[in-house]
Parts: sequence; C-alpha cells; structure tokens
Amino acid sequence: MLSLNAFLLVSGLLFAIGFFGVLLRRNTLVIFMSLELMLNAAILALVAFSRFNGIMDGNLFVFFIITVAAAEIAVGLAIIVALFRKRQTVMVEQLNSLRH
Amino acid sequence: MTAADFIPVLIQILLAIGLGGAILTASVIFGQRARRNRIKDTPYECGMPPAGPGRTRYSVKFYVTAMLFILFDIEVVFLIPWILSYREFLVNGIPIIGPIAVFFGIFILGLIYELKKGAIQWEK
Amino acid sequence: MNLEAFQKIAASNLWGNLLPEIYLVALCLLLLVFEMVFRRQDLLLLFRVALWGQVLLLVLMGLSYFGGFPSGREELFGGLLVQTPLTETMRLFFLFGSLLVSYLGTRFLRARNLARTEFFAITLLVTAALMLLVQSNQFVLLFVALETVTVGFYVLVAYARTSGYSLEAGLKYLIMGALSSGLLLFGIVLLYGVAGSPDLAGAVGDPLHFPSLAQFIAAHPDNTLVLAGSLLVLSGIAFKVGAVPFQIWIPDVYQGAPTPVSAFLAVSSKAAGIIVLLTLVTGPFAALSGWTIPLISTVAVLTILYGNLTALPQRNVKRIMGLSGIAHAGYLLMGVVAAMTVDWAVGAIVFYLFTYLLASFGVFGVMALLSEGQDADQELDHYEDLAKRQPLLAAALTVGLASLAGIPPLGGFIGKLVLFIAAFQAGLYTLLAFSVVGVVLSIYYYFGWVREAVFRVWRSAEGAGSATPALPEPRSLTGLDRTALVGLSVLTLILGVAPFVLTWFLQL
Repeated sequence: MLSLNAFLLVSGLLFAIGFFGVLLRRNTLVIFMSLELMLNAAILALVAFSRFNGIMDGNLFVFFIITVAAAEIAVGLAIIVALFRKRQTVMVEQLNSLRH
Repeated sequence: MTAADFIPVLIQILLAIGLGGAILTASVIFGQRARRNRIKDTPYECGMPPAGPGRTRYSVKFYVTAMLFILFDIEVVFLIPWILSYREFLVNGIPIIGPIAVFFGIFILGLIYELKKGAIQWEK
Repeated sequence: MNLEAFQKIAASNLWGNLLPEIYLVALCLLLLVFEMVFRRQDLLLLFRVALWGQVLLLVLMGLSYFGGFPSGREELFGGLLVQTPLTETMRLFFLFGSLLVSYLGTRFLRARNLARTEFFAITLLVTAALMLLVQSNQFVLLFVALETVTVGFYVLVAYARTSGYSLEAGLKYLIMGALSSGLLLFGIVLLYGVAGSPDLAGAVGDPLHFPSLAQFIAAHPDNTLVLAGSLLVLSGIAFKVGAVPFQIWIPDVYQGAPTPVSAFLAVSSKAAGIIVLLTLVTGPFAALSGWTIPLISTVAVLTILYGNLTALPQRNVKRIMGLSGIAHAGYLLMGVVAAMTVDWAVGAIVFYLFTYLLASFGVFGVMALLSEGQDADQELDHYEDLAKRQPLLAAALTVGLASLAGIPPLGGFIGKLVLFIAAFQAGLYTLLAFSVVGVVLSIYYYFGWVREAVFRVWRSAEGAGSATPALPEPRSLTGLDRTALVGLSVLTLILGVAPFVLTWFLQL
C-alpha cells in the first residue's frame, strides 16, 4: 500500500516539471503541455488527499478541473493555430512584436 | 486494496500478451512464406517509388474537430454523478430533473450553434 | 447517502437570488440564437439587444432596491456563495462595466471585419462569472468562476484574429493566465489536503468552504502546508490583479488587445481580483495576518513604484494605461491591507473602484473613438492638438486623466483621499509615503498626455513634420458617444463633490 507522501511526491514533481517547463521552454506547444501538466499534478494530489482524508469533495472538484482544463485547451489551441497561420512560427522568442 | 486484489488485472495482462504472441507465432509457423528481397519490401511493390517525406501535415480542420470532441466528451463527465444520485434524489423530492434539463438545454444549444456555424463541415 | 444534508442544501438553493446572473447568461444564449436565426449578423440589432438588455437588467435591479438595499450576510446554496451589500454593489459595478464594454465594442466591431455576436455573448458571460466570483464562499465555485472569467478573456484578448498583435497578446495572456491558475489550484489543493487531514487536531469535514477553512487555519497558523498553500493561492490572485512580481504580462496584453477589452481587463478583471483578495485575507486567511500584512504591504510598495516609474518614459498610450493600472492596483492593495484592520476601508476600496471605472472608461472611450480599429500603436503624438480637432474628446480625456491622477474636485481625488485616510488609520505610514510619491509621479505622465492633447506645445521647426503618421480622423460622434462621454465625466465630478455618495459607500 502506497503512502500519501508517495502520491504527493509524484504530484510535487509533476508540478515542478510543469512550472519550470513553462518558464524555460521556448516552444509554445511544449509550454502549453507544461501548463496542463501543472493542472494534472493538482488533480493527482487532490485525488490522493480525497482518498486518504476520506472526504469526497476532492473527487468532485476533479470533474470541474478537467472541464476547465478542456475549455482552456480548446481556446488555447485555437489561439496557437491562428497565430501559427499568421506568423508561421510557434517559438516564443520570435513572438515579440509587442515591444516599444 | 491489497496486492491480491490486482490478480485479475495481472491475469488480463498476461492473457492479452499471450494471445497476441500466440497469434503471431502461429502465423509465422503456419503461414505461407514469400521470397524476400528489397523490391518486395518497398511499400508499393509494383507502383510508384515513394517520394517525399513520410509524414504529411494534417489539415487544421482536424484541430477544430478534435477541440470540439474534447469539449463535448468532457461534459459527459457530469452525467456520472447525476445518474448515481438520480433515483434517490427523485424519491426524496430533491429537484434533479430541472437542473440537468437546463444543463442539457445549454449543451444542445451549443451543438446546434456549432452545426449552424459549419464547424464540422470538412468540405467547403 | 446522507439525504437529510442534501435536502437541507436543496432548500438553500434560492435561485431567485441569482436572477441577475441567470438573466445575463440567458441574454448571452439569446444572442447566440439570434446569430443562428439571422445569419447576416446585423450589428445594430445585436448591439441593441445586448445594450438594452443590460440597461433593462440595471433598471430591474434598481427597482428591486425600493424594498431596501440588501443588508446583512446571507449564505446560499449550501454555503457555496454568500451575499452581502458589498457583493450586491460589485454586481452593479460589473454590470456597469459590461454595459460600457458593449458600447465600446460596437464601435470597434464596426471598424473591423470580425465575428460580432460572440463579442457581446462572451462579454455577458464573463460579467455573470465576475458576479459569481465575488460572491463565492467556497473554493470550487471560486475556481470555476475565475476560470470562466479567464477563459473568456483569452478569447476576448485574441478577438481581432486578423491582427498579429491581438493574437500575440492573447497567447501571452493565455500562458500567464494558465500559469497563475495552476499556482492557484495547487495552493487550493494543498489547503484542502491539510485542512481535511484526520491526523491533525481540528480537521474540518468540508475544507473547501471558507468559514471551515478559516477555523482550521486559526488552529494551525504555522503549518508548513498551510503556509505554502495560502502563498500559492495569493500568488495566483496577484497574477490576476497584476501585482509585482506577477505584472509582466500587463503592458503587452493591454497594448495588443482590442481597446474595449483592455478597458474590461483594466477595470472589471482587476476589481474582481482585488475583491477576491479582500475576501480571502479577511476570511480564511485572517489568522495568517502575521505575515500577510507585511507581505502584501511590500508587494503594494513595489507595485506602486514599478507602475509609476515604468509609465514615466512611455509613449504608447495603451501601455501607459496598462502600467499606470499596475500603480492603481498598488493603491488598491494598500486598501486591502488597511481593510484587514480598519473595517470601513472596504467601502473606500469600492468607492475607489467606482471612480477608477468612470475615469478609465472615459480615457479608453476616447482612445477607442480616436483609433477606429487601428489601436495597438497609438502614441502620445497622435493626441497633438486634440482640443482643436475634437474639443469634446479632449475635455473627456482631460477629466478622465485628471481623475486618475487624483486632482480635486474629481472623484479620483476623493477616492485616493479616503483610501489614504484608511491606510493612515491602519498605521501604514511607510506604505502611505510611497503612495504619495507614486501619486506625484503619476501626475507627471498623466499631464504629459493632457499637455499633448490640450495645450499648445512648443515645437522646433524640424520637429514640425512629426515622424509618426497621423491616425485617420475619427468619424463624427454620434449622440450615444456624446452621451456616454459626457455622462462619464459628469459622474466623475459628482463622485468628487457629492459627499452623500461617499458616506453611502463607507457603510458597506
């Protein structure tokens, strides 16, 4: 039987990977995946807490998080595709026209 | 849950691997063999030689379909808790049909909107 | 299944108290139905439905107050949300904001060839979510409402999808917004986990509910997970408010987004962030005031200084509004700190928000009317001699900017004054000193803009042929434009000179 700490460790690692992925990666699509990784880390921790604390709320919260993440993916992907059509690139360093 | 509870899963996995392996082995043993050479191994043995990169780009239209699929797929998640509590809520006079009707009304409106907008018409 | 608990919750589902939100969502759906029925997107019709629909709601809400403005605190939907006079006032605030955004949006949509219905629909939806956000009393609702707002704003910021600027701003907002949501969510999860943990004394059964969480945090203020969780939640909110060090997205997004959306972001989104922050630090995190007060004070000082100092050398007007908006967020953060010890500071914050709304929409309105769709690169030089070309626009601009800078007798002055008095009463002397420095700095750049627009500036002979090409002359103002601009200016003045308005707010 795995302990709560094992789940939290994995969740923390996932969150850290996602967070640093957002900060350090240069490809928008990879950044986007990292963002989703952060949400999934939160979901994993939520389910683990819910199971070990014996409170159902967390499991229900997961439904809402998944829905929100789906909406975010849909909108985000649409923006990325539109931007790619316009600029022919998805690299962050080339998206710098808003500077004065 | 203890490790013993996972034995059915283990059996399932072993069965799947075993069956796949058995079928492949059987086809090697009993199947007919053709002569093998370079021409036989090309994708089109008696046609055009393949040219250009093997990976083709998908049309962006598919992204729209995929996005819509994700959205509509995820909404269904809310049906599971609804179904699980439906009967007991109904018996005890807690409103449950109304809320889900509103939810589905909005949901279906979204579907009609999407169809009217032509979001899933691939050939225009 | 514990049916009695469910029956009790079902009995507290008073849908009637959510009528404004339901009305807005219904209006949004109605617009989408219109879109399906009339394919040609008659802008005037859509605009009328959206605008008059919202005016009707405003009137209906006004009529409902004849029975007395809601007072006291009411928990609804099994504690999911709580209604107070503050949330009712914020509802009016957001409705007013969305009315102005719809009006500015019409002007913007007319100049560009874009999809039209969706702009109004998403604005209405975001407004309903903003209303729910400030009423939320539980983390699930808070998260869902906040995300509805944020996802709506992703679409709105990237709305001009033929413009690279708008899309780029949308992408930046998307990445930053999603990052902050991730931080916020992880913070919520940590708090949920630790507050429900059966190993700790005083664990609560519904750790996502604010009052229960407050109970737990009061019992364990030094727990590491509580600290980490609340810090993450506060950072997530700070992102939305645009406080240092989470302000990096603001100038780019404000510049790239369509002007009505920049105004919406600057006013409604920031106001919601401030009110949520207020709810959190005075509610669940009240027991943590030992470190939240110094932390938020430091952030407020940095925010005020950053906003004002970076706005000084700017020439692009949208970036000026963005950066000075950061400074305004800093003053409001000071108000939040003050509200943790002085009760009436809440009213001061809301009053400040109203003056900020009126002044900002005045300025953004002038910007939108001048730009005619070409709105990402409006420079200060484009405002040269505006008073000669468009006296009304120049007057509205001057009133708006002067109110933002805090010049008496306008609303902005009184707003800043009551906020500063609240901070003084709370004993935040250092913070107050930095705010005053910030205000003095802000007068410099706001008046640089006014000087450009109103006063004749001395120009050398070679500077006469200005390097920046002039924007196209704006088309003539309609009656509605005049009414809106004059109305905003007059209201700004009324807030400045009518003391009964202020006393009403301070009762909140």
